[in-house]
Amino acid sequence: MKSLFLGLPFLLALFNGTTDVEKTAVEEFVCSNWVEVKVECNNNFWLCTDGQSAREVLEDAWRFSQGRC
Amino acid sequence: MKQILKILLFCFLTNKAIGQVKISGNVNLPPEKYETNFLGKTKQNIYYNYTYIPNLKEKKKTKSSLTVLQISKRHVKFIDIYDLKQDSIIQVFSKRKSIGVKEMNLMFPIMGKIGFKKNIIKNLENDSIIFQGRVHSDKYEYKEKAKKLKWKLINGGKSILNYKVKKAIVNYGGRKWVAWYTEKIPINLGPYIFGGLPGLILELYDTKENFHFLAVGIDNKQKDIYKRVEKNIIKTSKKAFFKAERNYYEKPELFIRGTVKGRVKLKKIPYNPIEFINQ
Repeated sequence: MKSLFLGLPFLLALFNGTTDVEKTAVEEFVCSNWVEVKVECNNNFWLCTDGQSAREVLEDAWRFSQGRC
Repeated sequence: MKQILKILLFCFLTNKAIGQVKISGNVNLPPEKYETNFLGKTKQNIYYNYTYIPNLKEKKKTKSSLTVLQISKRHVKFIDIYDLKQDSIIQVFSKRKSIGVKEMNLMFPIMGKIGFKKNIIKNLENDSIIFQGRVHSDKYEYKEKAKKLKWKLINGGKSILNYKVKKAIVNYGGRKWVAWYTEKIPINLGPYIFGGLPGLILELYDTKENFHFLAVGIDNKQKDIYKRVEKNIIKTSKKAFFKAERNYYEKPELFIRGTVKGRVKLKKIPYNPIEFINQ
């Protein structure tokens, strides 16, 4: 399904006379730094720390870990 | 070094109580700045065990913490012991070049242990009170004038910490409160904002037992009373603060700034405030 979705712009580009296959319909979120928050029941999650303060990361970690297990 | 070892030992002991949450990864973040205004040295510290019901739908599940009423000549501060510990750690880390997961794993369990989440500083000379509290990563501050509580002294007597105590009741913040105070310590103060009785309050609870403060120790150790000074503190009103606090519990998505991946769902946290503020 994903490859069909990604292939669609290529097909459209072909009809339009272009072959710019680098354009995709999906823009991927890019984060340089992740931390993993491991909770007791292994229901772990990851937080992006780009542009965050330590306090923001800690508070997000605390908030998301509530009621997780 | 000694300070770090004390903090590490404390964190090791408290970690189990929080549940095993561990942060891992390779990250270097700027440390939190630490600045305070010194307000005086304490002449007395009253320690209260603080028990509360966070969720009214599960009244048997109570949480506890330890709070302290720090009394100096001109100021009184009421704060959670773990909030003081957190400040000590922040102070140590503020001198470092960056914060990594090692430091975060030292801070996280202490954050989770803070039961009484506001800190309250009363100026005894002009009766003004400053409240500081955190809502997610934002720090708020509001001020009010100390209210003259209309206590009703009633019959009743018992003993707390070998002090004979008498009973009084008052309505405040939408709750009915019971206080046990001792005239042997003629200080008209108590936990939270309560005071104005002929002696120190050694026990305080609301009649629905949602909040209970019980004195468990008194000492005369000299400690610093300080007020945290933070550049980005949001100065607001009491009403706005309680509204923000309620929103954080009920609509946490309004406060999350970061990006998360993994199967996550932000759940509402039950909100049971110590005071009901008309919104």
